[in-house]
Amino acid sequence: MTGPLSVITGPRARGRRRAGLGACAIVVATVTALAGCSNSGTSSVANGPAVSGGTVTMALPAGAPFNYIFPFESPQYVTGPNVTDLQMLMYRPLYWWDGSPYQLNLAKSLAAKPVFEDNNTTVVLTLKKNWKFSDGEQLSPANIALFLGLLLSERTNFWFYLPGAFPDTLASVSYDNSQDSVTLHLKTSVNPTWFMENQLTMITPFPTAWDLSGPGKKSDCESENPSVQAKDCPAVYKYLTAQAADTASYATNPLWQVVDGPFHLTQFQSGGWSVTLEPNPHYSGSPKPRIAKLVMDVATSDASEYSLLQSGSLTIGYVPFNSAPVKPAGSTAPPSNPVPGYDLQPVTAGWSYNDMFWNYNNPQLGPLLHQLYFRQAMQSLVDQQSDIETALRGYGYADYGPNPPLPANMYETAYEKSAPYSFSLQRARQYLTSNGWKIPASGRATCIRPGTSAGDCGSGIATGEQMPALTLNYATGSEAWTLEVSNLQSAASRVGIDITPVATTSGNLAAYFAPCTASQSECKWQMIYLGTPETDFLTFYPETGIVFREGAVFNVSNYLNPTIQSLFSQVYTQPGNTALDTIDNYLTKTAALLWMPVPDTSLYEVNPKLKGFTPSPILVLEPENWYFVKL
Amino acid sequence: MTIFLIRRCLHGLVVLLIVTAFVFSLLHALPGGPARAILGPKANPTEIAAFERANNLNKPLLEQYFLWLGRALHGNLGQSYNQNQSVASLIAQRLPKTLMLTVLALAVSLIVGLPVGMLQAVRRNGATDRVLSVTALAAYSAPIFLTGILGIWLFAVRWRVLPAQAPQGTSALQILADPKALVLPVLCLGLGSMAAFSRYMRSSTSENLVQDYVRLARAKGAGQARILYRHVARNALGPVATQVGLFLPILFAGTVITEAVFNYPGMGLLFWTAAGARDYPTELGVVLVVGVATVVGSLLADIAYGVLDPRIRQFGRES
Repeated sequence: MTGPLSVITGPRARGRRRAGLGACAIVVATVTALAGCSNSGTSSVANGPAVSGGTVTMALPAGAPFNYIFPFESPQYVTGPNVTDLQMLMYRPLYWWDGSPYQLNLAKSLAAKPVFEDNNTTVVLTLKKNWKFSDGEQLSPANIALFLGLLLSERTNFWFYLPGAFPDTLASVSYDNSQDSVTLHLKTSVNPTWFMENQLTMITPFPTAWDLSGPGKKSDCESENPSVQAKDCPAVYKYLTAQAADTASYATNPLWQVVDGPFHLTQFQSGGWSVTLEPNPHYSGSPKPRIAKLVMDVATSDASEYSLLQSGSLTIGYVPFNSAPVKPAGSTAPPSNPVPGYDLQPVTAGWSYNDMFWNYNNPQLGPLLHQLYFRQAMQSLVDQQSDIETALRGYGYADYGPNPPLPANMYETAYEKSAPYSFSLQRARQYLTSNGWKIPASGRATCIRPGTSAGDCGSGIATGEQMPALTLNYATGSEAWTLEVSNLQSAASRVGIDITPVATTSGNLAAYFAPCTASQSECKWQMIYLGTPETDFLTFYPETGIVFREGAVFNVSNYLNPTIQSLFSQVYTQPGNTALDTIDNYLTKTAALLWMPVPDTSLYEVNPKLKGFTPSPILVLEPENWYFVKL
Repeated sequence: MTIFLIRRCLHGLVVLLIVTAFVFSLLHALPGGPARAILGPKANPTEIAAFERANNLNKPLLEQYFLWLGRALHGNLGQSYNQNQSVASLIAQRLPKTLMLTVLALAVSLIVGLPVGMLQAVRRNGATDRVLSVTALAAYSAPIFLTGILGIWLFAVRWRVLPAQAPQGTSALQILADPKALVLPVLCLGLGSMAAFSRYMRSSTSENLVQDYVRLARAKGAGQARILYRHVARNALGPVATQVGLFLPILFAGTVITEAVFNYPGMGLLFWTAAGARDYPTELGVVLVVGVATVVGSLLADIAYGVLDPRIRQFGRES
């Protein structure tokens, strides 16, 4: 399952944030280049003795200030800063995942590895005995009960929830306080890996200090009795969301000061454009924070953030890719450090894949899209290496299927890695000409062999019919996206396919994202490119049901394939990755969507005095690992 | 004058009604509603329906407008769709910052632009005039993002004599407490209007310098300084004063870029981000505030014109 956050907070969202202000970043790059200030790297490698204390000032991606503190938000408030950079530092999820290498981190998790029993219909979660909240409360099943009570009664208000998934699959819950365990009894057998990586990741134990229906009015949403929960939890949700609506009180409201994570909030300024966190002295986990203060500033634009970084005002900042030197292929860093005096971090690949959507139900494009040869031809027209070198300026990597190619993982199949449709104009031409199309020297191809036999144009395509002129709507705001669609347009024109790219604001593109039928006016769109990739965020098992299952909320391409549908149910219910691998290979082989290169995440610069910072492919922050050294 | 002011206020109200109605319909005419823009493309139909219900987006357009207007008349500008704050509180946080920036930029552009314009008029077609004309033309043509980024690069990155960002305090006092940080944003925002005011003042002063009353003053033995400051300046300022009011919305538009470049979350940036996110209540709130500022600015210009030019006051009395 790919949660909504993957679109809202992942690189796709960062791309959108960059979109409107991208021009400024381009100007920074131009001015920098003109002035010849791209100094050679001066990053420090010195290591001195570690010291406690110190303030880290970190710039977060521009344009998206913090605006929600309660870790149970609706999709309206799901952003990277809110979830990973604020909430998860204070309110720890039950299970913590490391991104590099990608694995469950039991030391930072609040429970032992879940135990699956009774043919994977029962899941036992055993909590750590020595974990405490800052108000002294010992972590117990009641904290899980409070979360589950709110989830059961307010599931539609929780961003992570998808109809038919957890907690819809929950038959009952039993709590054993003597063993500090919670047992989930499920309606059906589940695939333990999928359930672990994509369902249990949503659970965050809530302190019972939050079990209030009004100021000082204790409630019983933490009850082990489902009927009591059903009665009490709505009022608790109402009270907590009302408290969360008062952003000015975030740093002073006693509710939000009850934390079990390594940090607590001390300042929330300028309407969320700057927040300050300080170590939670009662943090039960390890390592304990060593820095004294973490100030996270959200800049108004990439250009502004980059100026601050260059002027030395930040401890950790990022270089917008447009302002960074072109990175040679195969290298993990640009040839020179764009910000002298800082340590340049290696480029990080996100847990992402990238695609261009096309509409199987569009009246003009649909008949062609249903022909495998056409999709194969189109995929052969995507010159990913050229896109990476020219459009992404070296900051990206090739992707030929629905799995994240990087960081290296067990999910990407050998077939995906084999790049089955690498760029070849000749092969693209061959796919078309060997299936009944005549390609003129210029202009659109024409079908000369209609019919449904092998070598014919296929169903719904008449003799003499010209290839329809295609419109490709792509998101505005990045020169890279413009170049990528131009490259595709240019390659396609050489094999008789006429593509017209149309720059469209991401707000307008979002309007297209609704499943449609051929007769509906909403189905007029043909191809859409968002530019930013799909990032699996808190849903690490890279199944793509939300995009390819029939009726799924993000199946905007109107993809329908009965074989795939039955395989998806196996992904959720059968142990192992066999069904997932079969789906991935099939989607790759049939070019179900147009796979595109994945841009890297951020290019970080860190003050050489700060150690322990590692950019995370899964976009989490771990400032408890950071410390200053004397240089 | 009182009747004139009342009439202008009523005109202003009508203008505000038309502007808000126009912007309201324009926003709703955009393809794609705010639900998907706010909730993301993966929002399911239930979530979208709930969002539209909660924000009255399922009601007819006219009804939505009157609901908004009714609330606005009671001082309630609604809740931002995605910032978890009321629009009024967002504006209250941002308006002082933008006002401070705008007023300072306006003040600097007047303080510099007006004397420069007069100097050019006095030395009309001379070397000084030509150099200043070219400089003004360059300043007027330079886009704020370019001057801003060049300014940062030179003064904050290269020479490190000024901060790269504007003051981060929220109150006027906090902002003024960091004057060094105000230099670049104020100069960048005010540069264009400074050039424009100098051009207006040059033209207006030039016209006045050849008037009979100046010749008469000279004939009566008045010195150049007295003629300029006691007689010409007062007459030349009239047309410029009307421009000052009209420059307020132009300066506000400039704050969108200035705030983005100088990391200064004010009203301009609020409008920019709200537009990108289809945050209708915030957009309308900002439009209303800017509309009021424009109407008030225009009114103040009229009053200033009347104060500066006795003929206007006289005409008002006679009419």
